[in-house]
Formats: sequence, C-alpha cells, structure tokens
Amino acid sequence: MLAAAPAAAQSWPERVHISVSGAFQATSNDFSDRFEFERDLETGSTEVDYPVKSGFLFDAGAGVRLWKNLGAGVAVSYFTRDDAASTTSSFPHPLFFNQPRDVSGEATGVKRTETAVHVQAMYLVNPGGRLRLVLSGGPSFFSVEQDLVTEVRITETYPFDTAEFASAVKSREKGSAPAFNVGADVMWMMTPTFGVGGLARFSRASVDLDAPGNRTITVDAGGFWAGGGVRLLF
Amino acid sequence: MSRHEWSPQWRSVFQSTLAAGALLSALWLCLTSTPTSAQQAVRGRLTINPGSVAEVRDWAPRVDSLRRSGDLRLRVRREDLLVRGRTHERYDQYHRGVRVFGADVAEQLNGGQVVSVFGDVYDGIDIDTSPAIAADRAREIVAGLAGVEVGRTPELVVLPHEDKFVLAWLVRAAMPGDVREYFIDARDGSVAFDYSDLQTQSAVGRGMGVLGDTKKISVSSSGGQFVATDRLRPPAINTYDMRGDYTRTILYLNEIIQLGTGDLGNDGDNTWTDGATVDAHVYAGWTYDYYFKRYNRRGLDNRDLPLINVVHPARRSDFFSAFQQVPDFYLNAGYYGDGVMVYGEGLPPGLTAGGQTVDFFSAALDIVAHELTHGVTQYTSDLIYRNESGALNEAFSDIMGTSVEFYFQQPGSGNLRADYLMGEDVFRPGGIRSHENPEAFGDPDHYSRRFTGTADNGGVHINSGIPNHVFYLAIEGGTNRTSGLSVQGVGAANREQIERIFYRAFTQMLPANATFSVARAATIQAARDIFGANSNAERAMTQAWTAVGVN
Repeated sequence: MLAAAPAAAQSWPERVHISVSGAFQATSNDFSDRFEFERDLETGSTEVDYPVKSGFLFDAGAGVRLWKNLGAGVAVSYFTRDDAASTTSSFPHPLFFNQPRDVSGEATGVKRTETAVHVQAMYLVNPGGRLRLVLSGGPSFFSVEQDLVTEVRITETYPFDTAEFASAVKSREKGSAPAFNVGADVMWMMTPTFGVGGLARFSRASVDLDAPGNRTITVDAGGFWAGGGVRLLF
Repeated sequence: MSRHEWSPQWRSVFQSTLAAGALLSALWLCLTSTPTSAQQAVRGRLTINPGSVAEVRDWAPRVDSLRRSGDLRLRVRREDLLVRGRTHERYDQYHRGVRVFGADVAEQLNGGQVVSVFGDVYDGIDIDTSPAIAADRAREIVAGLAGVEVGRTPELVVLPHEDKFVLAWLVRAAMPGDVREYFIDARDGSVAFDYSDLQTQSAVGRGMGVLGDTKKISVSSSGGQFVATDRLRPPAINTYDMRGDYTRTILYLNEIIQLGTGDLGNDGDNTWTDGATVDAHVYAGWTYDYYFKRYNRRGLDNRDLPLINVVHPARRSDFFSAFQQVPDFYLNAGYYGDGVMVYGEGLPPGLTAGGQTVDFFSAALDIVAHELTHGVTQYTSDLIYRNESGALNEAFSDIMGTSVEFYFQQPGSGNLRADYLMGEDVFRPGGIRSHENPEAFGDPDHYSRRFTGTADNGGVHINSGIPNHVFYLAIEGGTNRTSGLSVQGVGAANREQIERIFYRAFTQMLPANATFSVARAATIQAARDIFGANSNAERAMTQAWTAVGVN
C-alpha cells in the first residue's frame, strides 16, 4: 500500500451548529460613474471614481443537520467601508461658451454597506477527533447601500477662468440582487460544544443602483473572503 | 469712435453737422451723474456688536439710556417662536423726533435680562429738523425724476451720508421694473441720495449680437424679467435701452433725469435678441476682462468704476427727421466721461455712406474697446484731446481696441475676426481706419505727412494713423510706404509684448500734453523696462518710430 486508507468519515452527532466570524474580504469592488449637468447654458460633466477596497466583514450563521451528514443553514455577512471618491468635473464658464474649467476634488466619507444573506445546503464532515468540516453552497441575496456623488459644488471668483472644488453632494442609494455562495468551514473543537473555525466563502453579485438623472449604475458586491471565529455545536 | 470717411454725396448731406464737429468728437466730457455709494465712514457712527456677555452687559445700560432719553423708540416687539421665554425688541434712533435712517438696535431679552444687542446708532447729530421744503414738494420732485405719480406720503428722516447728516424727505417711487428710494434734501430739494430697492439676482443669458453671433450675456433677474445688469464682474455694467427717445437721452446725458431699472435693456426669457444691447453689454464686459487679465487693471479708473452703456439713443426709423438734431446718435459712438458710453444706431437698411453700410455701433468689439479706453486715458495720462496729444489719445484707443479684438477673436478677415482694421464690423466693407495702411483711409503713415490744420481738434483722428502704424510695424514688421524704412517686428506670436509696452507708456509715463516724440521715448523706455535693453521689443519699437519719421 502506498498510503494508509483515510479513516472512514464518522457521523455528525450534533443537530445544530453556530458560527460567528470576523473575516477579510479580499475583493475590491471599485467602480466609476459619469453624469452630466446643465449650468450656464452649457452641459458640464462629472466623473467619479469610487474605491471600494478590500476590508473586514462580519459573518454569523447557523446550520441544522437534517439527515445523516446533510444539513441546511443560513448565514448573514455584513461589510462596510468609508472611502474617498475622487471627482473630475468640467464646469462651463459663466461668461464664455466653450471655455470649461476642469475641477478635481475628493468626496470623503463615501460609504458602502453590503449585507448578504446566504442560504446554504451543507455537507457535514466529521473526520474524527476534534476536527470538523462544513462544505456549503446555495443562493445568496445581497443588499447594497452606496453613497453616490450627485453634485459637485465649486467656488469661483471673477474672472472665473478657474474654479476650485468646494464640496460634493451625496445621496445614499440602495439596491439588491441575488447571487450564489460556496464555502468551507473548518472547525477545531476544544470542547464538545465550543471550538474555533476558519471559514472561506465566495459570493458575488451585481447590483443595480438608481443614480442621478434617471440612470442606473451596476456595482459589484461581495467576492472572496476568509476569516475565523468561534463555533458552537449542540 | 469718431472719424468716418464719407462718400461725396453723404458729405454734402451731413455737411452742416460735420462742420459743427459733433460727428468727429468722440470724447465728450459731459459730466454725468454717478450713483453715490452708500454711506461710508459716516461721522459719529457707533456699531453695537458685543462679542461677550460682559460686553453685552456693558452695552445694555447705554442702550437703556438712549431709550429713556427718547433717542431710541420701540418699533416692534415680538415673542421668540423658537426659544421659549425670549423676546425680541427693535428700536429706531430718532433725532429731535425725526428718524435717523439706517440707525436701529435689536435686543434679545430673556425675562427682562438682555441676552444680545446689535445695532448702529449715530452720535453727534447736530442738524436742525425743520424742513425748508414741504413733503408735497419732495413728492413732486420725485415724480419728475421717476416719471410716475407718487402717492405715498414722504417721511422726514435724518440721512447719515458722506460724513455728514442731511435732513431729507424719503420718498419711495415704484416705476416699471424698478423701485427707488429717493432722499430729497429738505433744505434745497436736491437729491441727496437714491438707490434701487429692487432685489435682483445674477443670471447668465444667451444673446445674439448684431451680426448674428451667439454669446453669453451676464444679466440679472429682476421683477420677473431679465435686465442688462452684469453682476458677475466686479464693476456694475449696466446697459440702458433708450428705445429711440433721443430727447430723453439728451436729458440723461445732461443730468436732467436719471435712468432706473426700467430703462435697462430687458428680456422676458433671457434669450436676448436685440443685438445692439447684447453687443454693447457683452463687449463692455470683455473689454473689462481684457484689462483685468492682461494688465491686472480694474476698469477705467482702476477702482471698478461702473460702466454705463446707452444704446438706441435715437430710432433708426426716425433717421430722416432726427439726424439733423442728433447726428451722433446715429453715426457715432462716444465716451461721455465717468464710464458712460453712447452707441449710435447706424444707418437704416438700404442707406450707405461712402459705399459702406453702417450698423449699430456696438456691433464692433474694437469700437466698444476704443470707447472704454478713452475712459482709461481719462483716469491715467488724461491726454489733452487736441493736436498730437489728442492724436495719441485716439491712437491709444485704436491700439487697445485692436488688442482686445485679437484677445477674443480669431485672426482673419471679415466679420467677427481680429485684424488691423478699425470698426470693420460696423462700417462694411472695410472699416474706417487701418493700422497696417493708414493711407488707405486718407490718414498719414509718416510724420512728414501729418495734418497740421485745425479741423478735427488738430487732426486727432487723422494723425492717430502715425502711432497706429507704429503699433502695427512693431508687431508684424514691414516697410513704411513713405520712408521706405523696414522694421523687424516681434511677430504676431509676441503681440502681447507690444500691447504691454503701449499700455505701460500711455497709462503711466505720458504727460497730458505729450507729443509723438515723447510717445516714442516713453514706449522705448517701457520696452526696456519690461523686456530689457536691446531686447527684440525695444528694437522693434525703435525701428517702428523711426520708420514713421518720429525721432
């Protein structure tokens, strides 16, 4: 024999398991937007680059063993970040046609919140000893709240050949979308009911947000994340 | 603008008026009324603006003392609707029973305790409060000024004004498009002060010029319409539409009447279609912009003197009946002093002068800039408007007019293009003067050919051709047709250098009675000052003056 045969999987005696994890979402979901506006008889424009960088998230879930090693569960993950969006605008000149002023600025405190509910079918693996493994997958439902820059305000003085960024007006838009999730949770039980675990999951959605000017912006949410936390078995 | 070349038939038609010199005099130094600024640094003014509780406590008894003496009288008392228990009282200051205009105190009280106090009061008022003229007389005076019946009873007030106090009748007059507060001096019936009480807001409109071009026009919204008041630029730029009433125009220029918001050019939808109004208003703004951006100069007096454009001073359709009375309201534009410009109507369609059609005078950017530059000269060198100094005065206006044109328009020929012709967008085809070839319009290009007669104030519009030609040669280079001397110019790409030289010399160095020779020395010195000795600019200026025979 070249290798020892793996030990046969053992039964999973507990009915319920609970996980609470902190994690790091590795995927960046940067996006950009461009909108136009009328000012001083001409059309101006603003381009906004929104960074949605990787960051920490919180995840909590529970599963129920339904039959043998098969179960079902639900988890909720919550991710939020504040970033600064960079804006580049072209403002028409108040006194002359076709002499726009370029204005760059930064809109701070641009908030992104992702809340995802993951419905999971589970395969519960008990290799023996203190180790447990949960493989899961199923549909997800993402809800995204995103601050969008709807207007850039400037300061300008005569002769108006230049203008300075003053502030950005934001609105918080909401959207939701379905997705899927796959994940694996490895537990190390320190007592029969309490342990720690490491969890990795991939779940990603494209969410439509209403934007100024009756437009729709599609943003990506979620991605791959990994983390760890406490595990409870009952 | 002033000098026009006429065809023989037009010369005879207009001979009498031409002889009067009116058509040729572009600079009429009529004194015009300028709205007096609000009171500043008025004697005895005490501003109550305590910055701490202690200072409030310090002011409270002083205010109370004024109240007890009757110098402060309660105007209104109101409960605070936002903070319970607070009361607001507002007092007016009185002097011997007469209200002091603009003097009041606002107190905030909490259960009798003064929480805050702000205001302005005047100390040391020492005028008699017995009016020499009656209220009805003041009302009649305002009715005459405003052109409307005034029903409201005038109020006798003490007006703090220009470091003194004036007993005045305050009369409010509402007229089409304006509401004005007049202060009629109660001793002699003169207008001590007046201002528009109509609230306005700046707006950007779309204007179509005389030649059909579209541009932005900075105006104001007022009373449900848009009026030609520029509030974006530092000085007030107002364009008044006299609607062809030349009698009223004359009354205004002679300070018999004042113009109000109702006289401003106006438009209902902010898409302006009266080209004469649009061009006068916009081009005055552009000229201000040129001086500001090129020389950091703030208007004619460098203190943002308000600019007043007057368009349609007469009516084109009245040309045959009115031209004899007011030729300059048709075939001229003029700077009347103190920031007032009047732009003529031109000729009715179908008529020509010397084979040229003559359009509204405000249609040409170089004409508008020329007129405004007379204002710059007025407040700087004040070149005397006759003989060589007068020709330098005219030349500087032509030079700056052309410079403004090159600043805002693309070089080329034809309408709305920058070139070395003067007035080519009004006098079509061809314009009325040329920097490049003055002799094409009968003007000398060399000192040896200068006009030495007495007409035209000693040839101010004729001999201007000589320094005008210097400007051209110093930029573009070339050969003077009379002397045959060649000049190496700085090149069109460096036109700004020569503009700066002329501006510096003519605004800062020339005396009022300057000659061409002095202008030569001053411009060469200016070239050295700005660009250094032996610079290309100095060489170009020196060669150019030599080429035109001025040493």
